[in-house]
Amino acid sequence: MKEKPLAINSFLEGEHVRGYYVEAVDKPGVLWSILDVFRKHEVNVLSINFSPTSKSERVGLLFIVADLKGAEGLEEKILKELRDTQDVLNVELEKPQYFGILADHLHFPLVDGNGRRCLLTSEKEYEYTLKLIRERLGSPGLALLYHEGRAIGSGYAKLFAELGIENLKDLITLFLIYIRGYGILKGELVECSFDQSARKGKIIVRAYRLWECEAAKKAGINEPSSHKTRGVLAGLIEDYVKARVHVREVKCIAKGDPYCEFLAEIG
Amino acid sequence: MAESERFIKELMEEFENKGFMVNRRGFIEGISGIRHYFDIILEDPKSGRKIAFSLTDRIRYEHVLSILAMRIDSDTPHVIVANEVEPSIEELLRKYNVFTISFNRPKFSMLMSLPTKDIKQFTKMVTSEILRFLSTISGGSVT
Repeated sequence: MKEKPLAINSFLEGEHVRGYYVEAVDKPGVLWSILDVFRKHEVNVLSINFSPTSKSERVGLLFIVADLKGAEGLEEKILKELRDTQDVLNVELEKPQYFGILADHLHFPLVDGNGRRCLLTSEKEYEYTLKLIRERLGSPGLALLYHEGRAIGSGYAKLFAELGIENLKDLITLFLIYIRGYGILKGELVECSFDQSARKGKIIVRAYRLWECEAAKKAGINEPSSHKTRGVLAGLIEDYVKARVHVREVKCIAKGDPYCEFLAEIG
Repeated sequence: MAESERFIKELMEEFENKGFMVNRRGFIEGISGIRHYFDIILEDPKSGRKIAFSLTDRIRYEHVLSILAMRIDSDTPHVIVANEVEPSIEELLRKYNVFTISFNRPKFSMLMSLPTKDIKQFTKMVTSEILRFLSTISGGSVT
């Protein structure tokens, strides 16, 4: 199967889109019964947001976005039928509001699979920030991005240590899984060598579609631009190996390479 | 900076007399791997220790973030020579081991009217003040 972008939070535009908040008992078959209401009326479901419920919580909340074009008169009927569905406890209808945008107002905050709060930021925001940092702060501003990343990387190292990571390769592999999940990049560990006693090592990480460099490229910057990600990698590895790590971005999509590549040298 | 050029020249000569190498317009690589520009970089050939100088017209609040960011990224002691520095900024920067020489301070403002002999004397005093500053920060890291 081919990868596709994942639209989070259903910021959908259009006068025919409708959102249904559905509170239902979390048990097998409930989702099928709910979606069957839309199927019966031949209404296309555009997206469904819901989170796994915790063990103590037996009620889940869904936000279903449907396209009611050509079925405008059905919105109340669908609402009623959803309310009458077995194991459904409550249903509310959400219509597009300001500027015709439909948004999910009841799922807040955003969390990852472990319940840790996450923030969504748009590429455009970073593009503006990067431009401003370069123009107003120059090289020290870029260094600040690096150091911010370094602190984040150190935080990841501590988090993974709690999960019982036993070697550097596992640490970086898990890190790449995490940040792929956060939509930062698609990473590949190309090389990882570390001599524990000499505290020396070399790591090569390849990054595809790194958001930081994609945004830089769009902002017209055509040089290695992943100062924050370099810092994250440095902080992650430094915290684990307890030695200074020098990370360079030796390839970058912003300067025309097919991917970004990081060379981390320990010691 | 035209009015302070004479002072800078004297100051660099004073450091050269003390055995420092003077490099005009250079870069120092920070911990981040990013290269920062400085107007003058002094280097003690024996210890390899460097002192970076920036020459600027004025330091205002909007410049503080970038100066401190550079300080976080680099272990090299930083001296800024400016025509004008807000006293509170001067105090703030000193806390983070950034040394400022500002010509709006009374002891510098009379500098331009001094005869050459007195300027030499004055630069000696500033040089020893800078060296004293360096010895207090021993390595200079604020990170």
